[in-house]
Amino acid sequence: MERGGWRPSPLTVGVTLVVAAATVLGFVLTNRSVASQNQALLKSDTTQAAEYVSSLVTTIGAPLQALASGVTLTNASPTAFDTEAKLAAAAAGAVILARKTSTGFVVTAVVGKGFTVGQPPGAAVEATLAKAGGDITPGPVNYNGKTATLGFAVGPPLAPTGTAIYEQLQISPFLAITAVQGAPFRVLRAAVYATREPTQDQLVLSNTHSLPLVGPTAVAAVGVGSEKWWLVASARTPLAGDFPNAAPYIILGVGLLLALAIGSTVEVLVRRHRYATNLVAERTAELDRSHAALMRSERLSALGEMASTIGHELRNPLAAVINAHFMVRHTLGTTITPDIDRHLDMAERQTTRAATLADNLTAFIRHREPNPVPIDLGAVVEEVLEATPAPSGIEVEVDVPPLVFQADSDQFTQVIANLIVNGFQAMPDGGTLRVQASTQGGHVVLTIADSGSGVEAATMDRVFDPFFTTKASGTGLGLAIVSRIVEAHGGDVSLRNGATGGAVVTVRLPIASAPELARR
Amino acid sequence: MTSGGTGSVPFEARTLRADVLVVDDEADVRRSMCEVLRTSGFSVVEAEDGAAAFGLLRENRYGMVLLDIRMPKLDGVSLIEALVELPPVVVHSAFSLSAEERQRLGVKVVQYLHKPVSPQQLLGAVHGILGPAPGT
Repeated sequence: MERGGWRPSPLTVGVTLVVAAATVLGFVLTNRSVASQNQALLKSDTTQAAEYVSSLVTTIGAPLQALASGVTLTNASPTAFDTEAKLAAAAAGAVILARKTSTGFVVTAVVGKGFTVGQPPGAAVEATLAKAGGDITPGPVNYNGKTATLGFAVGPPLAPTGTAIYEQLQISPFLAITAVQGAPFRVLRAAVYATREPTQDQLVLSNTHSLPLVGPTAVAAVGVGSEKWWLVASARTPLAGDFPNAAPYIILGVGLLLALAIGSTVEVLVRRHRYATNLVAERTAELDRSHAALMRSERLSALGEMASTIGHELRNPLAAVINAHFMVRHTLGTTITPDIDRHLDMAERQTTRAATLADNLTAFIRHREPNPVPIDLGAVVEEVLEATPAPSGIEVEVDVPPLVFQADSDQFTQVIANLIVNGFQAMPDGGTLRVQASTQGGHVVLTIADSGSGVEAATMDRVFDPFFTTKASGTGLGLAIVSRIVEAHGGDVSLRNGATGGAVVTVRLPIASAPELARR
Repeated sequence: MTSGGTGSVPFEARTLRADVLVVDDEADVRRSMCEVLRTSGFSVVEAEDGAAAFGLLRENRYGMVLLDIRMPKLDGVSLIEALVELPPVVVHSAFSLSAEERQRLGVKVVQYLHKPVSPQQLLGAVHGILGPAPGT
């Protein structure tokens, strides 16, 4: 099951990526949803904060408006102004009463520092004074690098016509005023600017030093009299709450774990499937091989059946021909001529050969169980040599001691016949065939050696195969039959090339003790 | 073929019709075998199948029977089984008999010859049973 090592299959990679992608998508979507929730909450909190600052400024501005009313009542009397303005000036840096001229404004009364009676109050202040109406009007923040001041002006109809009152405050934008410590400021980093652009030197009020604000911000207008200030805020903590903000990450984490789990499962299944498929392929190949072997053996069997039938059919014709040869000789008697004799001789030899072939054809399939009887080895050899005499040019040497052992008579005769005929056929140009026998430890050992050209190494291990022959004619069954019969008797047969050239066949057969033999 | 084994004449009382009864359904084989036997001085009678042989063997006495096995009408094994009294039988067949068939034949068959058998071997077998031909 470990084929492929650690490399996951493409399916696994695909499935894992899909689940992971879905998870990431879920994460992104939830994240966005949470972010917009956060932003909405920020917006509403910022608006709330702006409203609060607005009301705060109104509260701060109320005394100025009261002062203006007082000035109107006293008809802009500078002395009356001094008295009343002192109260206001206690909180502020300075309070001035200014009168409008054809060129601008001129200071008519001052409480506090920074202004001179009879002088113009300064361009920035004059601009604010010019805009001043019944509502308090804020001026721009005056930041000199170290300190910042902010002014509020009130003019007609609250102040007497042609006049305006200006209050200047020193502001510390970062001063932690208690007022801006409660909600919603607690969750916000907020900064109020006198202009729409949140520039540092227009900062009026702030509850954080981390300016400019980074991250998502919301802006709300702070109504200050007839003017506007701008409050910019960002959230200190995720406003939507802990769980909604954690949700996307939970989804991501769970999703990726799920992707891994699914991926692993898919991988296991893929590998199991691969294993099963390979197993099936192996088994199918095995099955194919067995089937092929079976087909081969069936074909061989069919061939064998056919061979057997042919062999049997040939027997009667051969018997008739052999008898006819006998009768011809008998009829001719002494009138036989050498030529006729030669022709008859050849006919008889070939008929015997045909008979052996027919025997081989039938014997291979017949494969009958050996029916052991005591056999005299020498007698069988003699019998075979008589029936199949050596062709001219071939000498036969027989060295077989008196030997009796148990074997099937017909089958063993066939073994000897096939081996001797093989030996003859191996020496087309003449030679010597040696037949030798001995006993060795409960076995009969028979060797038949020819002086032919031997067997080539390449074909050596196929000589006992059925239908294998190196001869131009022949069934290739001779040695196969020998092998079959010898093995059925519990023996073995082998072939090797002899020391002096030529082939040597060695047959070993158990003597097989029988009650009759034991007594001999 | 059940109780016909004894025949109408007792076995010992029958005269010897011929030395050899040759039973074979192949005409050429049968006739050539007869010729070979006759040239050696034996008297021969032929039967072309088991049924004919059965009839002859019930009524007559022969020195021996040369019997083929695979024949129409009545095969060799059944023929032998059906007869109680028989002269020596030599089976002369193209086929080998199975152990079961040999058991059925038992001691009634004295020798098995495997076709094609040389005339010399054939005569050897006949001599072995009948001795030399009469008149030789």
